[in-house]
Amino acid sequence: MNDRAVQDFVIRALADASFRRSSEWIDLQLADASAVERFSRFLARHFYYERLVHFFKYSRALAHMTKISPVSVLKTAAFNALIPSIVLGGRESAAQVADLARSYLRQGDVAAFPYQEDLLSYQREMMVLEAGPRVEGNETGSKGDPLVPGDYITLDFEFDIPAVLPRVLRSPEDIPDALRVPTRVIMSRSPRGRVTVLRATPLVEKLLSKLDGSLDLTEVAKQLDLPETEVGDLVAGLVEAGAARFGRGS
Amino acid sequence: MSNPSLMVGAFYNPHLGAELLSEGIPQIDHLAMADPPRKDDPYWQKIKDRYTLLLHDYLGQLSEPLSEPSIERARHLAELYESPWVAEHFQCLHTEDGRYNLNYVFPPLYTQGFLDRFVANAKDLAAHLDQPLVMENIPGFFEVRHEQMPEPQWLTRFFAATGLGFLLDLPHVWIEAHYRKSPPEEWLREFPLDHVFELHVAGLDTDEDLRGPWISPSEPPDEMLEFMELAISLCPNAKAVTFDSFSPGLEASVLFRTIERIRQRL
Repeated sequence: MNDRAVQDFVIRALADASFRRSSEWIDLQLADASAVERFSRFLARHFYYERLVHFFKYSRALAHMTKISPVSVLKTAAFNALIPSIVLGGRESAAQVADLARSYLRQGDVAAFPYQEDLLSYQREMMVLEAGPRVEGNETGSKGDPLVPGDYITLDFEFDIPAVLPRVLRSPEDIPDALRVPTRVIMSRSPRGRVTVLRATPLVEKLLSKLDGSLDLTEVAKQLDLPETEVGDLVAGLVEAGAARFGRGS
Repeated sequence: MSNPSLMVGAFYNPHLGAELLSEGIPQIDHLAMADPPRKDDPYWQKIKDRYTLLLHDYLGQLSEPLSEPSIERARHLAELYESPWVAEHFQCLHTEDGRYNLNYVFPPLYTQGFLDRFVANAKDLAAHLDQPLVMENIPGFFEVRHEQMPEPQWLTRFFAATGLGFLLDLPHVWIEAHYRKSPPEEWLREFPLDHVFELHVAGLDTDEDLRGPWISPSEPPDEMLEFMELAISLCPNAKAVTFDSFSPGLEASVLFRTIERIRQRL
C-alpha cells in the first residue's frame, strides 16, 4: 500500500467511528488501537467545540442571561455517548450534536427572551447545513445549462430573527427585542461549505420554484416575466450562495 | 543566551481586539493571523494600523499541490496583512478525495514519498509568494506502523532541499518528547535548529481524552519558558517568538502576562 493510502486510512479511522471498529481497519494493524481511540475522542470534542462556538455564537453571547453555555454540552455524558457513532464533518453527526446542544440549551432560563426557540432552530440548522464535504474547484455548469436546485432549506420563524441577530452580538448585555413577525428565510450551502441566509422574498421563492432542471436562465426569466439581466443577477447570487446551480445537462 | 532583538508577539484573537488596542499593555511586536479578518470586526483596521501582522492561516495541505484559488488566497492575505513572512504547517489532515477531514493539524507519514510531495509543493507555493515561506512542525500522538524515518531527519532533509525557514513549535516538540518518553531537551537537539526563523510557545494542560498533556489557552509554565530559552540559544537565525494561543477561551490577562514573561527571559 502506498504511503498516501496509508495516511488516508489513518485519517479515516480518526474521523469515522464505525470504520475504526471495522475489520478493514483493525486488520491493517497500523497503530495502537487505544491511542487511536483516545486521539479520536480528542478530535471529536475539538471539532464540535469549534462548530458550537461558531454556529451557536448567539446563545454563547446570551449565556449570562440564560445561565447556560452551548459548549458545556461537550462535557456531558450525552455527548460522550455520541462519540462511538460520530463521523467528523458528516451531516448526520452534525445533526446529532446540534440537537443535543439545542436540548441542552433548553434547560437554561428559557423565559429570558421570547425568541429563544427561533434562535435555537436558526443555529441548529446553520450547523447542520454547513456539514458535508467541500469541493475545491469550480464544478458549476455554464449559463446555457438548465438551472437546478442547490443545497438549501426554507425555514419559518415566529420572530424576525435575521434582524435581531446582529444586535445580539453587538450588545448582549441587553437582550434586544425582536419583532413578532412571521419570517421566512432561505438557508443555503455553497459547495465549499459556506452557509448563507437570505430573506425569502416572493420573487426569490418563485424563482427557486422554477429550478426543476428543465429551464435555463432565459426560459426562467421569460416565465417570471422579468428582464433576463435582472433574473441573471438574482441567479448569480443564488448560485454563489449554493441555493442554485447550473446543471451540466444530460 | 538572551536575545532582546527578537520580535515578541501573539495571535490575533478578535474577542480581545479592544484590549489589544488599549494603552498601557505590554509591548507586542506582531500578531499572527489564523483567520481572515471578519467583516463585522470593529477593531480590525486599528489592529492592522498598530501591529505587524503575520499570515498564519490554513492555506492548504502541502501533501498535494495547492489549487490556483488557494494560492491566490495566500497571496491576497499576505498582501492584505503586509506580512513579512508566511507560515504553513507540515500537515496532512484530510484524505486525498476530501471525504474525511480532521479539521485539526495532523502530521504526514515521515516517508520519502511524503517528503518528495512536501518539497515539491512547498517550493511551488514559495515561488508564488512575494514573502519568505516558513513551515511549522506538528505533533504526533501515536506511531503509525509504516516504514518512516525519524521526524527530525525528515525535516532536516526538507529544509536542505527547499531552503525554506522553520517555524519551530516548542510545545509540539515538548509533547512529542513526553509521548516518546524522551527528555525534551534531547529531542529538541535532533531538529534542524539552524533553519529556525520563528518559535512558538504555548500553555499546556492535561487533556482528559488523551490522558496526558496537550496545548491549551493557558500561560506557559516556567519549564516551557526555560525550554524556550534553551531553544533560542540553539537557533542562531531566529527572528521572532510568538505566544501560540488562538481560542475563544483565551483571556487578555493570560496573553499580556505571557508576553511579559517571554520578554523577561530574552
